[in-house]
Amino acid sequence: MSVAEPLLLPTSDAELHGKIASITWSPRGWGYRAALLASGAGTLLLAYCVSYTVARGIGLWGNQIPVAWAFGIINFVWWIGIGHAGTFISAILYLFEQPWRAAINRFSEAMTLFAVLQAALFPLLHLGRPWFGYWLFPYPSTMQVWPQVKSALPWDAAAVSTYGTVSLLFWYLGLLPDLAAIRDSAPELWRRRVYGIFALGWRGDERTWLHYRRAYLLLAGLATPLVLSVHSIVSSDFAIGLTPGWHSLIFPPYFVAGAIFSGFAMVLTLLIPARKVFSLEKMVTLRHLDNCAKLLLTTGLMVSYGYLIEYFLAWYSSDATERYQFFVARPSGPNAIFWYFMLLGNVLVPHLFWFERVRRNLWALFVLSLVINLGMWSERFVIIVLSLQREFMVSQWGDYSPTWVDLSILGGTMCFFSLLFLLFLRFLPFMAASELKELRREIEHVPQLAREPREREGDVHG
Amino acid sequence: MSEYWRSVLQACGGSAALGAGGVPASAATDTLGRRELIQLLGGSLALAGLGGCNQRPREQILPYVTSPRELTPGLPLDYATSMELDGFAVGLLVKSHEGRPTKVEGNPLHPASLGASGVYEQASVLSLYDPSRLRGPLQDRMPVSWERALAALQGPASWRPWFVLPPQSSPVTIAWLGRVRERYPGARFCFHAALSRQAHYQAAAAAFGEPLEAQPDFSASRVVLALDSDFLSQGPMSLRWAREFSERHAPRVPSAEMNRLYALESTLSPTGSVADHRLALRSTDVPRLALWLLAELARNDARARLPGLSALGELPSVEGSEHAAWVRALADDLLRHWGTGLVLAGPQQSLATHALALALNGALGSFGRTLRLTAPALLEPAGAESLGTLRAAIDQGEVDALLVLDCDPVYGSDPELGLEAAFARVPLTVQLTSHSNATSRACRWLLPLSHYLESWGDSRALDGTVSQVQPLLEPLHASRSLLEVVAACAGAPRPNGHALVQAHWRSQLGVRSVADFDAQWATRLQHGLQPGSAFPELRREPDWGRLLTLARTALTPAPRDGYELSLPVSPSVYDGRFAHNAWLLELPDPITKQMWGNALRISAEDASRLGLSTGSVVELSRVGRAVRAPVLVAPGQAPGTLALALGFGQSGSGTLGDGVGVDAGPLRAATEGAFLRVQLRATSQRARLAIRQQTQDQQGRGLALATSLAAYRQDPSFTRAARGPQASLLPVLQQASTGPLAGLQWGMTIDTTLCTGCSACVIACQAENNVPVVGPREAARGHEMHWLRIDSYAAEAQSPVGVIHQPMLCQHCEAAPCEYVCPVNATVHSPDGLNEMVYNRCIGTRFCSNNCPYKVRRFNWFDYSDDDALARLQKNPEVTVRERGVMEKCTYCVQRIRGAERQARIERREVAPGEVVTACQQACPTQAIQFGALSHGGTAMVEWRQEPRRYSVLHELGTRPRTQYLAKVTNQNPELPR
Amino acid sequence: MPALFPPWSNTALRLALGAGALGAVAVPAGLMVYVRTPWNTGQGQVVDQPVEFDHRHHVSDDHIDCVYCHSGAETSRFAGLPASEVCMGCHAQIWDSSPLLENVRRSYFSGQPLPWNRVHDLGDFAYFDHAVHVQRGLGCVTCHGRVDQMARLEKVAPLTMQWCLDCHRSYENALLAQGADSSLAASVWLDSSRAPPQSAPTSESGTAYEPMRGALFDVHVENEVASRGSVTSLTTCTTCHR
Repeated sequence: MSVAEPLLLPTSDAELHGKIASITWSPRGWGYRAALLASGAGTLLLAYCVSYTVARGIGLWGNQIPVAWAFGIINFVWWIGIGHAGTFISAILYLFEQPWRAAINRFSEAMTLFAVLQAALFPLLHLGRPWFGYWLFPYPSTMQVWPQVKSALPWDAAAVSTYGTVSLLFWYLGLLPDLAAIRDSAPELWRRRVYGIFALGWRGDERTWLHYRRAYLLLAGLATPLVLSVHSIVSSDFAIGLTPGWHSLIFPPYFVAGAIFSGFAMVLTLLIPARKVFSLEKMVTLRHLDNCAKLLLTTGLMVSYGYLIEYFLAWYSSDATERYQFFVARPSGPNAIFWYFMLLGNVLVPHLFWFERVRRNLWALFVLSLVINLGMWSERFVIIVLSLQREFMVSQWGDYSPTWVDLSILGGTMCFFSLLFLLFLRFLPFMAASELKELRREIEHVPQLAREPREREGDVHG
Repeated sequence: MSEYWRSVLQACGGSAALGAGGVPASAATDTLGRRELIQLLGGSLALAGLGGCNQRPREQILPYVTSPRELTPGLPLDYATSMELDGFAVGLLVKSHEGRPTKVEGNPLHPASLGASGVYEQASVLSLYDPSRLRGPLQDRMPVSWERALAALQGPASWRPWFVLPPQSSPVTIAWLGRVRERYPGARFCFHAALSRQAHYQAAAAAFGEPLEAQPDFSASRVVLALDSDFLSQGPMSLRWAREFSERHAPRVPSAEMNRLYALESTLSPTGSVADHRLALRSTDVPRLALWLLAELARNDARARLPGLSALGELPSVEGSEHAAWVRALADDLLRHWGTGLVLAGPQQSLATHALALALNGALGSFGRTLRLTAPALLEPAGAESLGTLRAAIDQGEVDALLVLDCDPVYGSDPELGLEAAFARVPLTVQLTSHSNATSRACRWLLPLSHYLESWGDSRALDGTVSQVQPLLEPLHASRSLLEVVAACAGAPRPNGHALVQAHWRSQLGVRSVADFDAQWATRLQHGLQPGSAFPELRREPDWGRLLTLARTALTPAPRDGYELSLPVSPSVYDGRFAHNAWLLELPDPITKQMWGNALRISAEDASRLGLSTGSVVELSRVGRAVRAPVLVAPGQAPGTLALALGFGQSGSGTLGDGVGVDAGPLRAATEGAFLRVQLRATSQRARLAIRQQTQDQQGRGLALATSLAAYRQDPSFTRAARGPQASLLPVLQQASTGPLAGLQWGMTIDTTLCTGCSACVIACQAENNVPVVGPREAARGHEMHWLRIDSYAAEAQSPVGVIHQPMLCQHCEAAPCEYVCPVNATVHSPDGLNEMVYNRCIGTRFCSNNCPYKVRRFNWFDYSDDDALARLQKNPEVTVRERGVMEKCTYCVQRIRGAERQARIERREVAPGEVVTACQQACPTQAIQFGALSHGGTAMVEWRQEPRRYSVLHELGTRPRTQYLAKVTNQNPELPR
Repeated sequence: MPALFPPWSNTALRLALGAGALGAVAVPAGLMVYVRTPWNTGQGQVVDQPVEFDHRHHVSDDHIDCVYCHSGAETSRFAGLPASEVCMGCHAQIWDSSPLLENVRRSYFSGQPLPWNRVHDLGDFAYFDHAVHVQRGLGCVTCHGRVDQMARLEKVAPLTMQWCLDCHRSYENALLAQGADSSLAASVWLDSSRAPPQSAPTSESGTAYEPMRGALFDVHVENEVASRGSVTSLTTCTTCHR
């Protein structure tokens, strides 16, 4: 077991404040501008492809019969999965009173929000007639027809929109104290005004804090079940189908595990560069990275277990079609390469995190997190495309290949995501300054807290 | 470029304009201009806005000024007419909505149809509205008036016009051709047909002294031998023959007797695919095999020893040949059924084969039993002139005028003949044609030909029945019928088809009064034929000696060097005359499942030896001329043989067929007959073919079941695993869901033993249900829209069965997987057991397609609905034209079901058994598809479902399909080694 | 440091938040109401026609059957509009020089149809059939209202799917209501004061049509059929959408 790093290296309120708040008005370097420009361009490409698709039809994509779902749904599931880490960190770790969340929760909440935004694009876009998308919601229409609750899709719509709303509120609530801090310390008046509006007149007196804490606790409680429900519902988009490779009860748990898995991978992908660029070594210590890696290992193992069960059941069912799907089509069928990416990213890579040297090596973590992201995307590709390519009717087997529009939309969402994230880094406190300051105080009074978190409960609540 | 081109190929790289209301026509181009992008952004926003509200643009109603007597808007009318192909008629009933022909069906009264129809008949209605048709007479590509055109067709008495035209059976046309000859003694007629029966008539002429027609009668035949003959799907009577043959090829009970079909052919044909025994060999070896057979028969049985066998000298023996066992078993079987045997030779086979076919029939005592001799329906059946004699006459300057009527002799003719160049030397060259084609390039005058639905005329079926051709509408363009043009040549002033036909028959029918004629004429128009006009049977004593001398060439074995290339007519575009027809171009080949074009069929053995796979391009060469074509590894292809379908690779015709597929024309040689010896060389190129079915191997999944008659008798319920109630963990649910259902519960039963794969049902479905065409590129991407497809599975190794054709359409599952996944209730179950698809509720999640194990659902990836003003006239007003982004699929022709119910409600009765007939069922020549209500006992649909060989596809999934199948049963000869 | 915001800004913010919350509810609700109003359904909207045709005069004064002009109503999917020759059948004798009928005469002599503007317009994906409704005893009035009292034809029914379904779910009631209300009694003939003319239109089965008994008789038959187990309910999707 690793020697526990401190949660927070010695620092001062002023330094914390400077690091987090004053960034918003200190000028940016050319690197930032270039990144902003690039992701902005990519976002335009996305807008182009989206309107092109809406205007011309889904035929622009590689989708066909039998592979009627492809990139659209893959990207949807991938992004929504990534969106899970944020809420997990800020809600579940909060309820479990894990102090190390303080440094990274704002980050991951933002990531969640932006990822969900990307995801929310697809359910609508991949419709044949997006302009009737509102039929997915139950409302008294003059047609006297209602959504069909046996299908997973109306629940999808409900789940994703709920999740989006709650994440937004949660994120915004957490922002309030820091917005206020920026308001009070910003140099120009207009800046103070703007932040003032969003700070909703935060005063920071005891009563405010009291309400704030309560609200935060409630929201955390509200968000926690969502972490589990959303991806379970998404998984049932496939689990309720009888397509070999979809028709499986294991999906909900292992989709949730996979979601958190990919979420933490993305956290690392974003955190490590940011830590370097803004020299946040004091707040984001190796301890944080180490914890993330451990979580990757855990969830990765859960995912591997999910695969194991899938294959066991395919064999155990002794159903020719199932067996063909898992033991022939996936390893050797068309597009099988993604199956190998999947195994690499989601089964092999996590085992590297048994080693402390890997967990504490920034470069290793960064690269591996990228590989895991690829692996998780491939997993969705395998589940959706490879299954549909080789179904029951041999006469209707078909091979899938994406078009340039598919690829542009995938790349475009990534750019849009990073655009939002860059703007977030620029204009909002990307760390929960208030919580860090609080943590600093706690550490001052209970020095060993920084080392053995377990004893903390006793001290604080004892 | 024509409108049609844009609207059909829009999704394949044509131009792409934004349609009305910001809905773009399609995604033709993969790039957008700046302006267009802004348009699109606007457009999509507008769409998002418009979608919600149900405001529609003001519509207008235009009532008649004086309403036609028989017509009530909204009530369609049926008219009887006939379609002619290579000179022979098939009787049809054509549905007309407010004067627009929309759907073609067979005429039950007509001997060549018996109510069925084939792909060509079904698709002909689309050709009527084809925008690429010629619209007016042209002289040197400049518009002229019909008056001037017809005036140009006159000449002095010494005039020597040559006519190249299809074989003629039409009494009135023949009469007028006679008048042409009276007026111009120098006139010559050259009859040009893709599938010419001349070889048969020549053989018959040798045997009987006159070119008699031989009418097979399958009702009396027990053993049928097809010598390279695809009689079930090609030829003047194939619809009737298919019906009669299949009626005796279906084991309604295990103990039933089946007739037995032997097929010898190089290229797997629909007939070969249903044969009980099929021998794949070089087509040029067929005559030799027939000769062996004749000898074998003669040796074994006195009855089969024809007088005049001596004409062949020493009879060759099959001894030592690889096919010895096969021929012997066949001979025994035929002799066992002496008097009920029947031998048919294919039209492309040589004179020798046809002579031997007649001889074999003689040896088997078929004449008067299974083969009836009648007078021929055609004028000059044995053919006086040929393209060769035409060429010679041109060289001697004996041709003053060349009139090419309704055919395209230049396409696919022997290049050495140099017709195109020769035509240029003729003073006057005229072509009467519906579309410009290869011949048009060589002719100075182009006259538009009327579609048969625009023409008056008559014709004969193979059995001589006089069939009426009556128009359903005035010509859409300034066009004339062949009859009118011939009459004009004969000097008829301002010829009018209606007048010509009536005048002719007024003189022919011995009518007493005008009223009498009108009465006869009325019945004739109503029935579409002249009752009792079939030819009587003739009795002739054949001269076997003269006949068999024709067979001498079969004594010498055919040369085996190089590959044998045969050029069969395409099962979709025939000899190219339908290459403008989008439905036919997109129709998957019955055997190879290729859409949009042809490919060189090659046997698996040859392919593996040359390292070729489907899609790799090869070079075919002969006497220094070469053609490049992609290969297609085809099941059942005889090693050493190749096949390339006719009718493709056209250019400059301005129709959809341009540049689709390959034309083997350059390799042709008039001297070599139908089968060419070519060299084959692999190249590094590859081509992308649009093939609907990747593999014909079932992977042992038992999707389509089959057995042999013997095995069926031993184990009648061999399909037990694929039918009957399902074991369930929830017996209560099980019972509830399978409990007795009230009222009319619709279902379908399909007998795969009867299905020949001819695909008439596919086109019928397309015509009835406004199924769109997507074009080659979309089709190659798996975007084709056919509601009904025919899955064909080649038999596993050493299985007794040939190919299983399985028509696959929405199975209308009682527990439909598509229904519970639709988020908006757009596909739901009706109380009478239909799986309903509500287009205007569908938002296009495509979940239903993912969850359909049969993959019969089709999605409108782009706006495929045809917005061409002309082509729109064909659409069936009873069926919604689907918009982009909605799912669609077979509905069991629900519009016909609801229509019948409406009528029943009005007449205060219940729907009668057999009242509802689906489009596919109605077209099917072998009646392999039966539809009806489960409660209507006594109908074939219900009784078939009691047969032990019934099964449902993917039964184990528990979807309980309403569409059930009967396993294929083949009738093997136990003595025959496989 | 001066206060960033004036005191009222708190109220303003609260109001804004309140308004936002309210709008989130009110906007969808408003839309749902709107689609049910005549603005959207087009009820009672006046449509200009090429000829100022007055149903009151032709039906109430002249006692002309609906089916005399709308002759398809009993046999076909379309009730149909009269051919110009039908108008001229009378108006060749009477009002043969009225300026109001100028367009009719022009149409009749030029052979160009009269371009009437559609008043009752269903979506093209809805397959409505006049014959089966009329033959089952449903009166024109039930859907088209008291056309005999309309100077200019207007739409009285919303023609929404909801409206169709209401009747398809309980057509007996509709028929009985029609039978009970004397103003709707005569099924095809709006003018109940007059017996069916001798030239009573006959259904395709040849049975002469008897309006009043027709309605009740139909209910009877429907029940009979139902008891015999005809299951094609009138609310099956494909009854109207194909």
